[in-house]
Amino acid sequence: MNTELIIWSIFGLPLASFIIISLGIRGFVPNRPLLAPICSIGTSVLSFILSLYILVQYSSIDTNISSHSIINMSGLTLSFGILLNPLTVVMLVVVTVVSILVQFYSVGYMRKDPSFIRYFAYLSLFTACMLGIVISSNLIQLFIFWELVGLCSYLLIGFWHYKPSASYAAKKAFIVTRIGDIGFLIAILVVVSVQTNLENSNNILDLPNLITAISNGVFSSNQITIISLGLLAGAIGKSAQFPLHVWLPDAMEGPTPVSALIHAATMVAAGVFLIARFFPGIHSSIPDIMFLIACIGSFTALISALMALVMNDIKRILAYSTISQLGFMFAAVGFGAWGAAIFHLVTHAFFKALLFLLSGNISHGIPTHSFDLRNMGQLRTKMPFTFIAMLCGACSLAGIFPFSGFWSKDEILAEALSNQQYLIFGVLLITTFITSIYIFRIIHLAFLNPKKQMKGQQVPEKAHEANWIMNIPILLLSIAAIGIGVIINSPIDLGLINAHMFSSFIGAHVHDLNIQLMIISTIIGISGFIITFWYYNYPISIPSVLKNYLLKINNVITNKYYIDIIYEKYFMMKFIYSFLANFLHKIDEKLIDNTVNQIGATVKNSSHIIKQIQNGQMQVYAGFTSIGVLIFFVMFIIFIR
Amino acid sequence: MGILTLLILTPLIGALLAILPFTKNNYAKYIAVITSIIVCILTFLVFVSFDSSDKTQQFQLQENIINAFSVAPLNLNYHLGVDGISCIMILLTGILGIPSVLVSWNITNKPKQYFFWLLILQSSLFGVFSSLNMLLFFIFWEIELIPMFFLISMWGSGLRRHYSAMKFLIFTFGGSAFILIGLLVLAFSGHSLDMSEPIYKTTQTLIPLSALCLIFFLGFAVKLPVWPLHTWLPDAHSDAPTAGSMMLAGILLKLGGYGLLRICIGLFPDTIDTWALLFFILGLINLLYGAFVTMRQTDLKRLIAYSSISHMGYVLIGFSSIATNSSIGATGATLQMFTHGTITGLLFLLVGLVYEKAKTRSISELGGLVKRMPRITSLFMLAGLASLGLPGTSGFVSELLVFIGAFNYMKIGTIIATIAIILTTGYMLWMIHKTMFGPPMERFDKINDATDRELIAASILGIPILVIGIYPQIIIEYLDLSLALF
Repeated sequence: MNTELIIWSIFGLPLASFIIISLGIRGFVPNRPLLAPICSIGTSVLSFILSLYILVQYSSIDTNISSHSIINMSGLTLSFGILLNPLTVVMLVVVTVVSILVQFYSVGYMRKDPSFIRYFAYLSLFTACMLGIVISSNLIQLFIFWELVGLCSYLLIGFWHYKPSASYAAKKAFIVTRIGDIGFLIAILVVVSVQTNLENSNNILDLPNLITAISNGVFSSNQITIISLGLLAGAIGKSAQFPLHVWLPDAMEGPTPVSALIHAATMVAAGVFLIARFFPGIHSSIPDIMFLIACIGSFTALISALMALVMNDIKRILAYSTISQLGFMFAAVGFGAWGAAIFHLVTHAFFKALLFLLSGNISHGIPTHSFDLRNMGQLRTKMPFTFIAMLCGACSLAGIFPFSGFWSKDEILAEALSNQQYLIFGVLLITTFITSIYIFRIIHLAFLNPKKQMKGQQVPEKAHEANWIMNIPILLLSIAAIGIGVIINSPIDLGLINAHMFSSFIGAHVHDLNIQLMIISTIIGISGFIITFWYYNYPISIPSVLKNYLLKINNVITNKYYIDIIYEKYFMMKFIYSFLANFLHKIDEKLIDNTVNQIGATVKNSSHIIKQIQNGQMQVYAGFTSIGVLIFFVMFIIFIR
Repeated sequence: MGILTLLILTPLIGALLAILPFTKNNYAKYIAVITSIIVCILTFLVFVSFDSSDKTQQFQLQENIINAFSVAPLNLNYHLGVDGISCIMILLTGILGIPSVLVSWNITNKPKQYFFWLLILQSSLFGVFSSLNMLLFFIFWEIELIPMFFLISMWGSGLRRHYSAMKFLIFTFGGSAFILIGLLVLAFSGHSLDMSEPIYKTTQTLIPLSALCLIFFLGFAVKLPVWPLHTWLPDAHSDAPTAGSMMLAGILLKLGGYGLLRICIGLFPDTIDTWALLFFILGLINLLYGAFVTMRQTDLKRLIAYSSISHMGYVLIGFSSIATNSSIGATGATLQMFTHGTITGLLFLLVGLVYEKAKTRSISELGGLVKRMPRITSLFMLAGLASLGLPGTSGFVSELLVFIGAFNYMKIGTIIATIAIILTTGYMLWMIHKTMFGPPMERFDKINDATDRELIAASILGIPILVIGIYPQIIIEYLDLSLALF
């Protein structure tokens, strides 16, 4: 079969589903809403099968695929093409799998929503655009899908547009990620400006050519710095890294399956994907920027894990957890372990999707339909299946042996050690510990029976499990959260499974087994569980001096380090809106428009004055005539004589 | 008779039919819509049969029909012809014609005169875009003011409509005076008034070429509008009827850009190096100043009017990049004129519908309209997203090309200009969210969504936005060769 056709169909099928649902089903058979999920899941499954086919046949297919121009003018050619390499294939599979599961879950979760059809149209478009990013070979093509993914998450976060909070969160997500995209755009501009001055016809907008060009010294070092910083800014925006992380926690205002999709396989994964696609090839030219990436990543990992520790909303905790885990991936790319980053991206996609869908299960099952941990407790008895699945997800996130998160996180830590990045290693290790505490805090508060929380709170008696449509994806994701790590990238040969299958497939560095580190990180993971358990069952009394300090710290963290307030209240409202815009608006009104009106008024007034002369009285006219004659006479005498 | 003459005559005939004494009031709109459809088909014919690989003026027609008026230096030739640039501007005029008639369906105040002026406006616009004789160009340029003046002052919606119409008239007449001066200087320097022949540095003129270029620029700057000559625009827009706003923002502003391109740059190609920096800086001011002021607007129409000022900044910035001997930026700018015509036309159309149904344009009084108006909301979303330059819509392509072109001209300035992307995103989303989203309001419980007729009108403008966004080559092909000449 023609490889090009297959790849384009992987992307095109969900896109076609979007068009069919939004124009066909929504327009002509709106009373048969179930057609929408059939269409969208069906196309996703087809895309998944085709992706699997590419994965299996990868070694035997031709990866050179021609591109097609959509802009062809003097001085600029923009063509759409496909960049097929192992990274592409892995991402194709992950994106399609997660989106199938999320869509399946959504059938159950959203079935009473009046905008059911619109929802599936958006989901299909979302999947298509993410697949578009993955296959893009051209920088501008990548940017186009990059922005469209932003659009889809905007549409889905604001899906319940009648909720002011959702509408606000959607707007925030779109604007904040677009700030990062400015960087991406500037990087494109630099590349194009070099391209137009280039003699040979090699199109450096194509990613492989771009990477070669950078290594070959086509760009000056300043240009390389601007390009990489620009792309980094774009990735920081999309992957919600500090300082553009503020949009992701608010993004939970969308339907829960959407959060699962955004946090797992689409949107936030795009940023990591971009830096993993671009930076490893040029890392030797930009050591400082690579270090910057590692610093941003580890710093974000730490601060967001701390925020996750103090939040009370399950989805918010999970959102900060995503930011933190993405920080791990950024850090990994930063110190050169991009293979580990992508491995973590894959395992994280599964267990984070699982955790989000489970939070959906919980809110779906309890009478208040809230996500607030303070309204929960003892759900273990009412929702045993959810509880077990949640434990799988939690252990995977906390990095406990042998759950899948363990393998990828451990690989990042091991790579940090072997690259002698001790500071970053230390930060990441502390983050691992905090991660374990916050995720088991959810388990304790929601499922077990924390005595501390029982005052005045009634146990939700009517809590119930979700239906099978929702539980099947959860079952599959739980299995993945348990086993996918060891299956795809086991550090040792396990008979059927070769060692380091994943790392060697994507062509990344394969690290040696580090038993001590594995033991340490598992102990850290479990210790979080023990500490949480201890804290909620045997409350310890803290000295009041220390308590005051802790409360202050807690206050800062609960307010998200005041970053949101500084951005929104001081920068946006006070500086941009009330100061700059208001100032210019006043200039427009009072200075420019007023001047215009004044000129008009002056002309009018002076004409009023001059008008007085023309009053129709003969003697006045005669008087003026005589004065005129007199003046002429005087002038005649002066000048002629 | 050439197809271009037919384009000018058809709306004229329609206009006369509409105002004939025995035409019933009700029939005027049918005459107008049929005329617009015929005109639109004609413009498509021009578009399709235009050979984009040929860089000369096509469909040329030249007759000295008005010899009596051709006093010595002023040779008034009836000389028509189109190149790629005028071809797409004609197409834009044709596309906007039908929706502007369709949204005026419910006009009850003197409908015959209303449609008469609307069609006259179309006729004069075709004249401007196809004239190759500068005097002819100027005559059509002036004629187009009259219908616009009456549309605003007689069928306007605001209380200040007479003030706004007068302001519009005085401003544009002021601009025209400069064009007339430039034209006279050119004529008395012994140059023919043929617009397809560039004048190079070696030519003797009464005043230096670059000064002559600036005089023309001042004339066109009013129309574009360039800061600080823009204040007529928000007033004219907020008081014009819906179709008036559509034509005003959709095509009349582009006359300024077209004039700049055709005369300031096309006729005096040597002077662009002198003025490129001025164009760039004024464009940057337009872009950012416009965007900031837009943020403070509380009236839907004024908001879109100010956003138009901001978006016209792209046109100036794109033109300035011709100084780098690359046509990418200018192509982007010309494409921006076309896309902005459709996008802003659509925005004004939708705002007009909202105003007609909800009886208010004040953003603070609106909210939650999506529940009653899903159609209008979807289209509003499309237009808004295109306006903020989202990929997949035509707005993205033109902005990208402008940025690419401008980046070669001035790097820092272009990076500053990219801030406008964020600002545009901010105010567009704010406007859409504030009016369409949020909890539904009780007082809008009874209002209706767009009717099928209104939906068709909006779709006519929406389709080009998407088509060009997905396959921009369709328009770029037309611009590339014509602009590469500069």
